[in-house]
Amino acid sequence: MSRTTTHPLRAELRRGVGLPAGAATLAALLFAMYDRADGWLTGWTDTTDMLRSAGVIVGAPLAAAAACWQGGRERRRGTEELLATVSRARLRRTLLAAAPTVLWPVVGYLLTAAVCLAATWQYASDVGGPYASMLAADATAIGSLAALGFLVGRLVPWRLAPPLVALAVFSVDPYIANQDSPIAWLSPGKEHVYAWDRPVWWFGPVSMVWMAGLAAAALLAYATRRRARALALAPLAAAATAAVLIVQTGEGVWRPDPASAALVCDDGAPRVCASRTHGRMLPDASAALAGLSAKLRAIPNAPTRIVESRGDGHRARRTDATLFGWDYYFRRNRIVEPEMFAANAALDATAPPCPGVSDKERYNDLSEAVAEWLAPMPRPEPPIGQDAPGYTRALAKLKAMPDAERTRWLGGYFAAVRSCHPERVTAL
Amino acid sequence: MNSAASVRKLTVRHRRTTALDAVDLAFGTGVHGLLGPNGAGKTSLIRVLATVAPPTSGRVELLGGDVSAPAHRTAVRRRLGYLPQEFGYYPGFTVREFVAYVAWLKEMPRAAASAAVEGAVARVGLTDRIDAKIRTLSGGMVRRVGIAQAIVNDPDLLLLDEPTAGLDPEQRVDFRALLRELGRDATVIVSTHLVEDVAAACTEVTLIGAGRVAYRGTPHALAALGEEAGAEDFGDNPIERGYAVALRRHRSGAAPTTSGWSVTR
Repeated sequence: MSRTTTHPLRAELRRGVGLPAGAATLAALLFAMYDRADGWLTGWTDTTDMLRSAGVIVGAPLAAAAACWQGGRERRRGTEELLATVSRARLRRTLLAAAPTVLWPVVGYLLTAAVCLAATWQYASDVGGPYASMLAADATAIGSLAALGFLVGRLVPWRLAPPLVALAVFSVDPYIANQDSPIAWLSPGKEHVYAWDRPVWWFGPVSMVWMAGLAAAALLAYATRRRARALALAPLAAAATAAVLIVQTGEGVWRPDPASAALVCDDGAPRVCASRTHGRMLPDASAALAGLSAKLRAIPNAPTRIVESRGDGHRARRTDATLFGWDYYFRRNRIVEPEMFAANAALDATAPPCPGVSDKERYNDLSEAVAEWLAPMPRPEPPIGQDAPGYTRALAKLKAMPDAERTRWLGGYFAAVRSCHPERVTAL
Repeated sequence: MNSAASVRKLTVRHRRTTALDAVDLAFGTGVHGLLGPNGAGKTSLIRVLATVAPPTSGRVELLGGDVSAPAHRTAVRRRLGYLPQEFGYYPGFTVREFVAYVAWLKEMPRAAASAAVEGAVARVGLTDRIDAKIRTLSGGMVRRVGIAQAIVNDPDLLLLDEPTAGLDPEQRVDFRALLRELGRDATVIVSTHLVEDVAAACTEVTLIGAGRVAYRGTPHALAALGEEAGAEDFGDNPIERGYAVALRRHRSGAAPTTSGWSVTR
C-alpha cells in the first residue's frame, strides 16, 4: 500500500476545476481557430495574429472565470478556518491554489498554438517561422489574467463574480486594443495587419513583463505580510517600465522583415510580384491577372509590374501597379475572387495616386473606364445605383475604337497619368 | 507543571457579545475535555488556541511562547493539529491527497510525509479507503479524514472541536482510544457536548459557562460532584449530574469549582 506522497501541486493539477478549464480552453480555442481557418492558414504572421485574438477574446475570459471560481474555493468548501492555522506561507499557498486554473488554460492555449502552427506549416512561405516569443507573451497574458481572476475570486464573495470577471476580460481588452493611440499595443490581443512584418525582438519578452508584472504585483500585495507588501512595487515598476516602452514604440513594435517583404516575381510581362511571404500565392495571382497582363503588354507606357503593396501608397517603382491586401482574395493560398483581384489591380494601374489632380471627375471617369476595359469589375446582382454618364460614355467609346487607335490612345493615357498629368490625356 | 497552552485574562468579543470573559486557563500533557452549553465560549476558546482568531485582550501562550509574535506563531502552527467544528475539505481529492496536502501546509519534511500520511489515515481506520475520493465517503468517514489531517504532523498541541459528531458508537469507542493514546505525549483539547466522551477519554475536564470557567477538575471529580449533590433530577449518569450541578452553581453566582492542578478564575 505504501506509496510516495507526491507534491500537492500534482493533486491540485489533477483535481478540481483546473483540468476542465484547460480542456474547455483548448476546445473553445480550437473551435474558434477552425471556424476562421480560411483567414489565417496563410502564413506565420496571420496565424500568430489569429492565435493572439482568439487567445485573448476566447481563452483569457474562460481562464479568468475558472480561476475566479477556484479563488472562491476555500470560502465554498469551508477550508478557510483550517488554512488559517497552517504554517506554510500565504504566498506559497496562494500560488499552489491558483496553479491549476493558471497553468491548464495556458497549456490549452499552447496546444492550440501547436496544432495551428503545424497546420500553417504547409501553407507558410519558406521565410520566417513561428513567432515563439509572441506566443509565449500570449500564454503569459492568459496566465496573468487568470491569476488576477483568481484574486478577484479570493476577495469577492459573490457567486456572480466568475461570469462578471469573464465579461470584464472579454470587454476591456478589445476596448484597449481598439484605442486609436499607442496604448492599444498594451492589449495582448491587438491585431497586426502586414503579413511581411515581424515583431521587434523585445516585444514578446517586454509584453510578458507587462502582464506578468501586473499579476505578480497583485499576488504579492494580496499574499504577503503587511511589512513585505512593498515587494509588490518591484513587479509593478517592471510592468510600468514595460508599458512605457511599448507605448512609446507604438506601431514600431512590428517592423517589416526584409526577407519576408522582398518580392518574388513571375516571368510574365508585365511581371506579377508578391511579397515573399505570399510567394505561394503567385501562381494563382499570375493566372488571375493573365487577361489584364495580356492587354497591358501591348500598351506603351503601361505598368511593367503588378506588385503586392503595403497599402500605404508605397511603390517600389514609378512604373509599378500595386495591389494591397492579397489575403482578401486568397484562401489557403488559392485565389477565390480572381475577377475582383484583377479588377482592383487594373484600377491601381489606371489611377496611380496623384495629389492635386485638377478636374478629378473627368480623371475618375476616364480611369475607371480604362480599368473596366482592362479587367471588368464583377457586377453585383441586382446592380447598385447608376454609372456616371462620363464613365459610361468613355467606356463605350473605348470599346468602339479600332484596336490600333485604342492602343495608341491608351499609350498616351498611361504616359499622362503615370507622370501625374492626367490633364494631358486627350479626349475620347 | 509546564503548560503547552495557557491563556491569561483572555477575553473574546464578537461585536457586542462577550464569548470569553477574562479567562485564565492552562493545559498540560493529557486529554482535556471542554464542556459547556451552546454559546458558552468553547469554540471561541478553541479558535483562539488554534491561532485562527486573535483575542480581544489577554495573553495567549502556546508551546512556550506568546503567539502574538508572528515568528513564534508560525513555529507553533507547525506543531499544531486542528479539527474545526465545520470541517472543510476538497471533495475531489482522495483521502491520501488531502491529508498530504495538509502535511505540506504544515511544512512537514517531504521525506517523512508519506509515512506520516499513511500512519494518520491508519490511526483513524481509513486505510482501505485511502485512495478513495472524499466525496465518496460517508459523513463519519469524512470526520475521520478531519481527524487524520489534524494528527498527520504528530502535533504537540491538538485541538478538536466536536470531533465525534457523525461518528457511530463503534467509531467513537475507537476514537476515544486514539485520544487516550495521543494524550500520552501531547496536549489534546477536545470540545464536545458528549459527556461520555469526556468520561471515557479525558484526564481533565473544563466546564465553560457564559464565557467563564464554571468547573475544572478530573472527570472522576465531576462525577463525584454529581453524586454528592444528589442531582438525580438531571442526567443518566454521575458525570452528567456533575455537569448540571457545576453549571447551576456557576449560574447562581457561586465561585467556580476547581479540582486538580489547574488555576481557574
